[in-house]
Amino acid sequence: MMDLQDQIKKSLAGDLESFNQIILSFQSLVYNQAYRIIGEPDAAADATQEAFISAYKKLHTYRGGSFKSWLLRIVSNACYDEFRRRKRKPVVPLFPKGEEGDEMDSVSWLEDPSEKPEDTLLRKELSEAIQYCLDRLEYEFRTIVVLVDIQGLDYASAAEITDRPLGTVKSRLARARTNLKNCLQGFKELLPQGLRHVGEA
Amino acid sequence: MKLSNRDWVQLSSYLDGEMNLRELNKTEERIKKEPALQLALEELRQTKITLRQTPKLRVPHNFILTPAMVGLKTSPLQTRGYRLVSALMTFLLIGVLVLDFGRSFVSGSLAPAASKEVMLEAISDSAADALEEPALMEAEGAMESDRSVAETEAGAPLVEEAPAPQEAAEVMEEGESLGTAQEAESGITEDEAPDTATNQTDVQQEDGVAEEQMAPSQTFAPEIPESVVSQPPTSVYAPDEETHKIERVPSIDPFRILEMILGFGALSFGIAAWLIKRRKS
Repeated sequence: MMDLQDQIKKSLAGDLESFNQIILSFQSLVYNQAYRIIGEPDAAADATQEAFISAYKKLHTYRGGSFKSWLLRIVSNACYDEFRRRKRKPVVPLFPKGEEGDEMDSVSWLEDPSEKPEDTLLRKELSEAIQYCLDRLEYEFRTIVVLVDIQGLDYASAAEITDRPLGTVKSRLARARTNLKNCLQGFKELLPQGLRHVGEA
Repeated sequence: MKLSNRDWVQLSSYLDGEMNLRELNKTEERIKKEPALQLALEELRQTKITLRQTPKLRVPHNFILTPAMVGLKTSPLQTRGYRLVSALMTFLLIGVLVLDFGRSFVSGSLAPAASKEVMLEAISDSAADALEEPALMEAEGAMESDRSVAETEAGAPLVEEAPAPQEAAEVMEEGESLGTAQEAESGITEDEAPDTATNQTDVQQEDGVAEEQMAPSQTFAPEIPESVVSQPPTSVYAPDEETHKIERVPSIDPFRILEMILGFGALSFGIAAWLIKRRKS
């Protein structure tokens, strides 16, 4: 199997199949980043597709280093464009219909069906609780906390992706975490055991 | 005790290890001294753990790109060129087919009769030649033998042994006259006279009398038919060659070759254009 650098070289030479292999490797990361920032599955899918198209066209601007960071920066920009577009023209999200014919108002249709029902429910509710709290953050705060706490990037990478100084990333991350902490206290029963009892003493 | 924004930032950075050594030591000292900072640090840690446990969503579909998505288009010159050539060759093929059909239609009633005539002529000529060939061969053989005989007679004493009839008659008359005189002198019987005359004639011939009386132009010339002698042996088979020429007429019609070339070309260029378009899409 070709490594990432070979795939990038071939993609730069115009080989779309090689770039599609890169897409298959990174699409989960990119889609989750887009979904956590935008909060809507359809918009996240659109932003993801736009991000990959943009990445293919701008691949010549990749100068080495972390390809993941380079790609997440493109995703962040695509999410921002999608976010602004939806802010100008609010849309009512249409979810697929469930077994009983009613529209599913969550993203549970995207999850793994092989999981146990109680685990699925817990995961679904925790995911929804986190998303609920993320949606209440300002866009830039949300982007940084998703990059650092969900995607696991360091501050320097987050600063590079968001094109913000390191100090700004630090302060915005701290504020975002504080707000999320307060928000998640409203979903104590969904939280891990350690977080449920924090602040009760 | 309420924490300031600076305290939250320091605790967040301390949690992630994103501090220099001096700030790290200072923050650690404060955390040890202040229980509020310890509690806030624990809350941030649990929040971070919770966020790290955020379920990963499955992608709704693959996001692989198609050439159309990224604006890749097939080379218009290449594809269009192939298509144009294919179309032109198709039109030419149709034209040639129409011409071919028209040609065969127009000459449809005449061509078979003409060809039959030609065929019959060819067959009759070849048959006649085949029939004539043995006679010709015999004639040629006779001619060759006569020619050799003539050559040997012209250059050898055989000519003397076979004089011309007129000359022989003259000799005979002289011989007879001599013989009569001698018969009268010697009293030889008439029965013996011809032998004597013949002998005398032979003697005279041996003496070259007859030789002197013969003109060079009166040498023996065998009778060879003019039709055989006048024509060289090669000219005898001329009709046969003509027959072969008729048989050697090329069997593949140029129209067929042109049709095959145009058909193959149109098909090849059409397939090439289709393959390029399919590969790019």
